Amino acid sequence: MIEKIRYFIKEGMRSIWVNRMMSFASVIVLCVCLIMLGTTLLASVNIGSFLTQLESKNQIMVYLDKSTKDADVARVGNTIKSMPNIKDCEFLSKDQIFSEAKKTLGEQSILMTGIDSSAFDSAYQVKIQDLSTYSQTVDALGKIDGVKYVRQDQGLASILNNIQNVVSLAGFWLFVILAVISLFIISNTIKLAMFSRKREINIMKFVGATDWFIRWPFIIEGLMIGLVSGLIALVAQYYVYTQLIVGVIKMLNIVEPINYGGFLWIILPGFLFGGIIVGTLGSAVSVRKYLKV
Amino acid sequence: MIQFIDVYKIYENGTNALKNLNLTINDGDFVFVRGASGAGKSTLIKLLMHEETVSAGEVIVNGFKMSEMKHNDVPILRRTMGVVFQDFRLIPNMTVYDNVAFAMRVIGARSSEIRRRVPYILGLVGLARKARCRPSELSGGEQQRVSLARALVNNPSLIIADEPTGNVDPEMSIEIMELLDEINRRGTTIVMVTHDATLVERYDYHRVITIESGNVAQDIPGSNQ
Repeated sequence: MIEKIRYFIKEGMRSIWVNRMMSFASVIVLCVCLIMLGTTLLASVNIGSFLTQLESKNQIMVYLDKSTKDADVARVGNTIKSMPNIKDCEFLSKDQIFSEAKKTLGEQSILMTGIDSSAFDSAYQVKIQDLSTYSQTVDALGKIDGVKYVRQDQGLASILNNIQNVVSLAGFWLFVILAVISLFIISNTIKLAMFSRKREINIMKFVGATDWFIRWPFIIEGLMIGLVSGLIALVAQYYVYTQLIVGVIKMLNIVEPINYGGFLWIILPGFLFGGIIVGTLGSAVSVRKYLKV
Repeated sequence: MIQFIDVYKIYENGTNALKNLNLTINDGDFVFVRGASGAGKSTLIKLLMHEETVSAGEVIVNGFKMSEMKHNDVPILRRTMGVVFQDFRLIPNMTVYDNVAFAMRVIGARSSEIRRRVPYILGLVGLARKARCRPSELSGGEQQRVSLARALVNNPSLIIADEPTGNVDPEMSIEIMELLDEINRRGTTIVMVTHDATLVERYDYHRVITIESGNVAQDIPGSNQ
């Protein structure tokens, strides 16, 4: 048995070398397909993260009546925090709002001469989790006893929400379309490689080889091609992403790019198993056609 | 032993290749099979190797009843025979040694057995010094001898030779015939399809079966049978 396994591995490796042009073509095709799929995934997650970062800037200000007592301020705070869909809730005192306003006006803060913090309302700065229920949350905030008014920017919220929906839908379909195209190209490459060895398989059958005896070296060959493709695709994408894409995103200076390391847990098994499964199954299925002699 | 009992073979395109063929070849026989193109010789060989199945009737080869064979039995049947083709059918990217050793690996022979047997067989066909060559580096006659070595290496009880001299020069044809004759003398059954009338005349002590329109037109027993 061990001798047989050794033979299958040796034959698989020998086949890769002997048919090196076809092996090389298979590796390239598989690599390109994996990189395309990986890039789609990376792009869609980066856009998702970009939107999340923008979302975090989408704040709702809940202003309180000037007459609100300290105990009521705390009650309003607790009510907001206990509401669903609230991500963050921070109290801003009149003084804080006053100094924030001065900071925002900058040189023009001279306009605020003679005005002190008592002219301002204290407020809660609220961030919400799900933008799709934005308006319901704003309504609920306005109905809390002690709340004077709610300042919000629903336009931005709905734009972000729409973008996020489009990106996730487009990302999903792009991934599916690329996956189908990749499978088509890969299966054709393997079929082409197999066709050139039709005669070899035919001879094996005539000397009395069983189907599995013929199939195993091809499966090992497919597995090795898949593994090598997965590794090359991983390294190539890592360098392109960290050296090029991250640089571009940083240059645009809008959002922070996602760290590739945090992605490795999806990309690494995805590329390796993707490569191995496609390579192995592709070989096993393609060789079947020529075994019917 | 080979038996064709009331065999009919009709291909999907309607070609009636064999019509009620009856034939028996005993163990140890050397039989020439002759006939014009399209007479049914190739179909006869394909049925022997279970490359095709009969439309009606029965073919029995080395104890295997073709009509009852399962897919998994086909490799076992093929291991009881060695096949030599007109176009040699060697694996181009394997050396002479590996081409012959391959037939042994297929049946699960041990490496030590392969290392002992392959050089012996290559010596028998006169190719011991070409073991490391690839088929493309050999002449037609040499390639056919490799094919013969591969057919012989597992010591089969039956050798099927489909026009083995068709692609080699007359001198080499005689050499190949001498080898087949020698193998037959050691007890192996040989079924050889040939167009070469001169060769059949030269070895007229073997049985000659002539196929015409899918049936046996003439069966001349050999003088040594």
